[in-house]
Amino acid sequence: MKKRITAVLASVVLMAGCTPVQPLGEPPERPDVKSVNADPGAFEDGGDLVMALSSEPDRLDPTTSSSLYTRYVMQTMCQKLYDIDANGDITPMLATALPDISEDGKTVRIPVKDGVRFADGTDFDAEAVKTTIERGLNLEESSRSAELGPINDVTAVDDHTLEVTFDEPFAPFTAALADRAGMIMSPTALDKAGENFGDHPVCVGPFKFEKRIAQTSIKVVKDANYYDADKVHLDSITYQIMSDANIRAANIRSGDVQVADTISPQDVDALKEESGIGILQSNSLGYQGLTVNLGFGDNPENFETPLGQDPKVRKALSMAIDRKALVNTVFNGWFSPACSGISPDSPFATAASNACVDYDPEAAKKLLEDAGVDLPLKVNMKVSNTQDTLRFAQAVQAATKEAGFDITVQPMEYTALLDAQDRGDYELLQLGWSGRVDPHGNLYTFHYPGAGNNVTGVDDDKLSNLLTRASEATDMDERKKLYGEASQRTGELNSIIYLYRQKNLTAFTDNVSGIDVFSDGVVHLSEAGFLKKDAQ
Amino acid sequence: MTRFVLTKIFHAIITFVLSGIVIFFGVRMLPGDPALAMAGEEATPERLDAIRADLGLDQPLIVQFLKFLGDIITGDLGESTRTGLAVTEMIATTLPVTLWLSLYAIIVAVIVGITLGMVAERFRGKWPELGSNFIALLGLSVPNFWLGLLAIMGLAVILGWFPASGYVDVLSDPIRGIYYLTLPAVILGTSLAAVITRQTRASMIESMGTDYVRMARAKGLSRPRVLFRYGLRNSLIVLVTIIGLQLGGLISGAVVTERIFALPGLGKLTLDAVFSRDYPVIQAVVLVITASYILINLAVDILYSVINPQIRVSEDAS
Repeated sequence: MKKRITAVLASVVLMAGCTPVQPLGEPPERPDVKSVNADPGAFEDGGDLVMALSSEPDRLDPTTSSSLYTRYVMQTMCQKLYDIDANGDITPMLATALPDISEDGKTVRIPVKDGVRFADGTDFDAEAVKTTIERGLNLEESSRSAELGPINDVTAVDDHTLEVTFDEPFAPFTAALADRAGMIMSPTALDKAGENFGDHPVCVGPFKFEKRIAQTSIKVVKDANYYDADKVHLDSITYQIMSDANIRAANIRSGDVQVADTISPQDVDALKEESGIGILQSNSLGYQGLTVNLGFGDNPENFETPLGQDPKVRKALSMAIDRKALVNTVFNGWFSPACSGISPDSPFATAASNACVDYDPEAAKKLLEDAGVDLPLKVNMKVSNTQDTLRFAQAVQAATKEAGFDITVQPMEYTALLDAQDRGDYELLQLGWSGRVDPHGNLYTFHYPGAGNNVTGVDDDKLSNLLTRASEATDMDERKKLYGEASQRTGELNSIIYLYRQKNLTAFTDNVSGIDVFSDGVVHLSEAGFLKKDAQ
Repeated sequence: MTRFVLTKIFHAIITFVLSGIVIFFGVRMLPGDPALAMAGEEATPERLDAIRADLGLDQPLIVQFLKFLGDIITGDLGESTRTGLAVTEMIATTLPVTLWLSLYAIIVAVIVGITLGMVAERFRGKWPELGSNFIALLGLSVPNFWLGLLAIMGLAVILGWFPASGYVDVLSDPIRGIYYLTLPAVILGTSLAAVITRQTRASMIESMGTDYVRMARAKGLSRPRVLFRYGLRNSLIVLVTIIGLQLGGLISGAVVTERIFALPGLGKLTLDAVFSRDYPVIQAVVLVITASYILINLAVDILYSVINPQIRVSEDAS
């Protein structure tokens, strides 16, 4: 009898372990919740808000920074000429209006605010804006020069008007000024600190830099010089670096931190159910996808493959992936399928950019046979060794078998994966892009020959022409149309096979309010504050 | 004795220099490019070249190595490639955290370990001994990260007795400092406590079976007095050595504990630096950890030779 019970128990355990992964049904509707805002009277002024950051920001210098997480911290200290709003539209911040662009598109005038002071007490004016933009263009280590476009000259027309002239029209300029290129730095502080500005950044903002403990925390305190100080409720914000998603979730639960970014889709359902915890969710402007080596790097073995050489084979791979089912299964329906570099939440999205290839494994197999490849087609895919990515890669591996692919998943540590991508040492690779407000930042750099992130080696005249025209056009409708056509072309070439878009998932405790997360993924805490007891 | 100590110090210096060479070349064998890790998404060939030139990574390896040696000698450990902060400053702020954590963990481990070990000896064959053995086995086999997560869930999230993360400088606010360090220190000290429990039990059993203990008991000394004065005192000699040797393990265990509790210590600094290929930070931190290992071993060797002169004699003879 005892043996029989043991056998039954063992079978149950084994069967539980062998249950196949079933695609889930339709996920529940998950509309964006981008802000939590209480009445001004509900805030208790003062206090230190602690936010758990999932990654350490790099240098706190808007010119040289290249980390997404630096934006989180900088946005409380360094206001930009422009910002984006909840709809993804660009709105003035330190500028007073959207730029005035000349008819030929080559001259841009920007009016800037009056009566504004930097955290060091010096005046903010057009000359300071000029200094910042020129630093972005000329500093050797600048990460901003490509974003700023073909600038010919920058002039402060008067104290409150800046004029920028271009060699060619450059429409993405305004969007660049809604990111780090538009964070205006104090010229006095720049003179004093030079390249070490990031050790003690001084800008215009509701908060100013207080101290940084490497790999641990960054503290900012309320700035008395800020022009709109009435809206600032907190005394200070401490950004605590907690790279482990479980630890961030535990700290939100215990109340030791009040806000935490990048909650895992595996944790978010449980957190949502708990009392005292809220979740902000906004679709990302970025994407995750498969990058195919078409001829990049020194090793022909990586690209002289059916996948690298034949667009039909790449199309077959794209058609063999049931994006919706995979996203639902692996990410509990929190993320959404993607088929182009333009997010449906972008003001530039059109039916053409939203169009998706049909999932059709039969047709995919037929395409492979037409291409004359031996089935199953062996493909090596390098992926990052994080838990979520590995789960997704294994699901792709299993799902594409039916269409005739035999994918080997090769996990690598993230930095090594970036290195492999940069050297072209891969056949197929899974990585993503955090996204930019203007589609130029999501498409041009990846698909234009010789551009910074063109690591696939794609070189297509039609696509290049569309992307150039889109960056030079000044009319919004014209740009939308061109980016729609460019998206269709990327879908035909499949140098990047777009797979899914993440959601920016941010958790907060219900004793705080005034938090925004827009589609650029940056968590805004400038107007956040603790709530009075009776308002919670 | 002087010759013995000088020989040991000479060996320690040689080990340190060799370690330095291994660290320098080992770090450069890591896959991944620091310039790329730094530039991230915005990596363009021009920017990567600028970063490499700025970090000196475009120089031949031997030039980089000589610069590394020069920097160590002058005490200038450079700047973090990721954050631009001075490495010496980063170590100066993180090292005390790890030292306080390790010290607290040792105190916890010694108190818990010796108590459980003595209980096991006192109640041999009875349930307290079984309990003590079971706890020691758990302490040795359950990994730190798992225990840490359980502690955070149980004691910080559900019961709210301790903070789930954070650090307060022990010198500026001792009470809050100790309060914040308690949970991490207990978790970090667990495996050391288990080792001490087993060692105490074994050496106590040995000591309590010796003729001089039997003699002491025959003379009518009370059991507690025999236990502490003869049993424990003799066991301490072995314990000191064991604890010394385990200190290195504590520092490496701190890497995990500091990450779980988001403590701003040397362990967390190391791990994050490795992920971002921050060469100057990795080199400096690993050197500091290596130096502390070597120093601890040197101290243990010397201490042990003082406690047991036979060691010194046999090594001198060889």
